[in-house]
Amino acid sequence: MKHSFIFLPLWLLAVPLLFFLHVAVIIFLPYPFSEINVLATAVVMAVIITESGAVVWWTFCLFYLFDWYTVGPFGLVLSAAVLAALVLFWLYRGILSNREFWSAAILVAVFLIFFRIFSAGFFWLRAVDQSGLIASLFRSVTVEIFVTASFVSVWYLLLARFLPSLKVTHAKRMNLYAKN
Amino acid sequence: MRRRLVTALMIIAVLLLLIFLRKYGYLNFFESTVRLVTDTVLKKMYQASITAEMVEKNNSVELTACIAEDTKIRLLEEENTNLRDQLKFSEKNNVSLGADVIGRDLDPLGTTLIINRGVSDRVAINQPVILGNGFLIGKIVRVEAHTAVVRLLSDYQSKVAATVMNREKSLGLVIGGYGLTIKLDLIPQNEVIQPGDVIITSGLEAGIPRGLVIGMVEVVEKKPQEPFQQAVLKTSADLHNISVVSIIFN
Repeated sequence: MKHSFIFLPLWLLAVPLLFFLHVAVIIFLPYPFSEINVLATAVVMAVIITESGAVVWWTFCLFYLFDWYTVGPFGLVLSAAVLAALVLFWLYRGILSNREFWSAAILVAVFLIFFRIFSAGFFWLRAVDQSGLIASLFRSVTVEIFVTASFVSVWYLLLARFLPSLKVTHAKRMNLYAKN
Repeated sequence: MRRRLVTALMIIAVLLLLIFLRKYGYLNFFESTVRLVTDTVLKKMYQASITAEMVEKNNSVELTACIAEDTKIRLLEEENTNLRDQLKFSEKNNVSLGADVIGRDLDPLGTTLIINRGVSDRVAINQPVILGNGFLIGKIVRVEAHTAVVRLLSDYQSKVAATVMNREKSLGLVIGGYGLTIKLDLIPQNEVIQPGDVIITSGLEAGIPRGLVIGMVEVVEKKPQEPFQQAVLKTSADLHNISVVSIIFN
């Protein structure tokens, strides 16, 4: 699985496709389904499937495209997303390493929370108009976390039917690592 | 631990490098090429999301509101002309530029529209964006080479200086309410505002001309203990189903 990134063109092709899917979810689906964060889902699933730190750089490409269409100055959303992906990867390797659907749901919640915290921090650093920003950040995050976590859980259960690696228990993985 | 620190520093360095390169235009060619594709796809998707029924609904609301406001605007124009003559103000005509909406609400931090006009069309931050013949829907908050982001009136950070078309011509501030509502605030308690009163831009804000219609008062919220009264406004069009807008160059 760690060699998944030899398929670099496929990963790069996935960037615009996921971006357009994210946009489609926002504009076509009714509330609260429009709050599903497809990009966060993709990042979490990529971390779990590949277990590679290269996912952080892939997040960079994914949110570079997204940052063009955001309100704040260029780089704020991108930086927040990349750092959130980095924290997510470390947490996955160190703490939340279970391969269960609920683990994926928690990971996506962690990613979204860190993404919001870093966004608020960078907006504060850049002295962008702060009035109501924090309130707005955390106002919608609950719904976003809930629907995205549910979405990730469904995807995890679906993918686990086709990818045996997603069904390997934590103990077995530890044994595999020990043998290798 | 040290490896993690190095990784984090490397990522921060790359982010800063990217921001630097972009600021000084080194990524223009790459970005404009990719954006040719992304903007086109976004526009197609957005247009597909707006059904003909919604557009028709918006047009009919606009038309009704136009008829109702036409008389008042004429009266205002007469009054305005007299005042200008008296103060020897020169008449300034607002020039507007049409734009297609190519996306909306992509940013989780705001209620926004993305339009296909940018720096190359002389679009600048804080320019007002209108619908039809003068219904203010928002202001430009970010400009790229060929696109711009419009912050809608209903965004939580939106603030517009406004005047109520009542007897006192009360001045107030129209603020957004988390993408759901628009409120008029800072109206003194002793001034009378009623449901149905029209709210227009006051012209006290740089770059925003007087007389753009913002909406109508729907509910007045008056608390005796508060120094100011508030009103919930109804906009002239559904802010989430707009396909064409105009940017005003003052």
